[in-house]
Amino acid sequence: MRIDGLVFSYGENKIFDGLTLDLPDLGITAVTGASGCGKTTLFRIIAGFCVPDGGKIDAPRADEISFLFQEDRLFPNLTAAEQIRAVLPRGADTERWLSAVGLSGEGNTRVESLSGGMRRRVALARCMAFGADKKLMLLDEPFTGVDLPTAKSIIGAFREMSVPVIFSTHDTEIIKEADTVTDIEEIMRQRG
Amino acid sequence: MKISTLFQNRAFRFAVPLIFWAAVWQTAAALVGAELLLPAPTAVVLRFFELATTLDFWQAALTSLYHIFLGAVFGVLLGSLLSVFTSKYRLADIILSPAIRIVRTVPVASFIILVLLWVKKSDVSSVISCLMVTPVMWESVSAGISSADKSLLEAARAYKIKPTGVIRYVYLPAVKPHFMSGVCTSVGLAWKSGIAAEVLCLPKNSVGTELYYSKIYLETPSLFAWTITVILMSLALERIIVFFFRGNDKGRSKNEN
Repeated sequence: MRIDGLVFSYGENKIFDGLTLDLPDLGITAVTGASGCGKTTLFRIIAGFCVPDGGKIDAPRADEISFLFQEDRLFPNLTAAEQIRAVLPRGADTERWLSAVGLSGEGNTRVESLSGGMRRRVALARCMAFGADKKLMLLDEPFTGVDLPTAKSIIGAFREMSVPVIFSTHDTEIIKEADTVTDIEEIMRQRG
Repeated sequence: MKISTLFQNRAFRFAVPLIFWAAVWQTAAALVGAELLLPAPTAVVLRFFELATTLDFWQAALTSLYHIFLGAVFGVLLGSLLSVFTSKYRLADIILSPAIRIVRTVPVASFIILVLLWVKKSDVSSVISCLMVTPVMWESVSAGISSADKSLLEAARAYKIKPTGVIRYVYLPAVKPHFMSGVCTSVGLAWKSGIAAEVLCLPKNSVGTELYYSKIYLETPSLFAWTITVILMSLALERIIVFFFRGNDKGRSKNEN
């Protein structure tokens, strides 16, 4: 995956002014950088939710990407299993994905009754279920509110899926679990 | 028992205003001293129970209930469908919005007289109820549709959820509270306008016609008793509708948890 000369602004606020970087299209990649450096914007551009002002993006198409938003964005009044069923064909297995994020047995619980960390894991399970046959999983802060052992176990589940994963995080312990680390703040600093 | 606890007691909150206003009414009736102008609550309650033991009462009450309920149901459906249509198509909204707003502002009596020229007088209350309910439901459901969470719509797009799924997972939860509030407002409005239509059109076996005859024969206790009948039927209908929707919600959460 290559991002070449990316330019993007929110009104007067220039976020990227010619950002160029390569991202591996295999394994697990962690994207880091201080808050506000543009990680979420970069992910939204790659996933097709924002249109850049300039530059070239050589990445899978939007419909080949499973995207996890920075917020959980779970549908109201549904159970954990129903959240996953919503993105799968009728009759598909939901337990596999709940188990992958350590929520076995919580399928019939409405998400409003779950803790923040558990809701995040439901959102992650939904994204993984949808992404099983995609070319890329793009995850924006997937482990917010998730404890380290569970996060490591979920990263283990990513490896079993054989879909390339790119995720953003600030957590130094989680970064160690990735195959590649890309610090976009550092890349922008080097470019001046 | 603490006073704050007492204020939260449902029986207390129901009984105290009832007793207070009945006492005000009784005092006012005693001061006026003329049943023709203001009958005492006791006289009205006695008249209500006298009426309730007759077949004519039940025929009139149930016939009015049937016609007004029918009109209200059609109004709810029509208003909801129109709101979906105008929310989806901007041009339809531009064309229909002024017409719907005009229906809201035109005096109901004008519509009743006009509708009387077109339909049987027994059906006027249904048509009028429908006409009055439609704009309320249109406005409520439209507000619900525009309150749908944009971030959830984006998520639905990201996960390629079908339009039926988007309606079920995003729009229905957003619309439901607005729909419920619209229905509660509509029930009262349907009764007010439906009874007004019956008073002007005098169909056979109807509460409105009985109200009219109470006026003609100066039977003020009967006028009050029929009015109480309308209030009770309106409240009962509203409670049934609210119970139906809330009951479904409770049943759902029980099954899922």
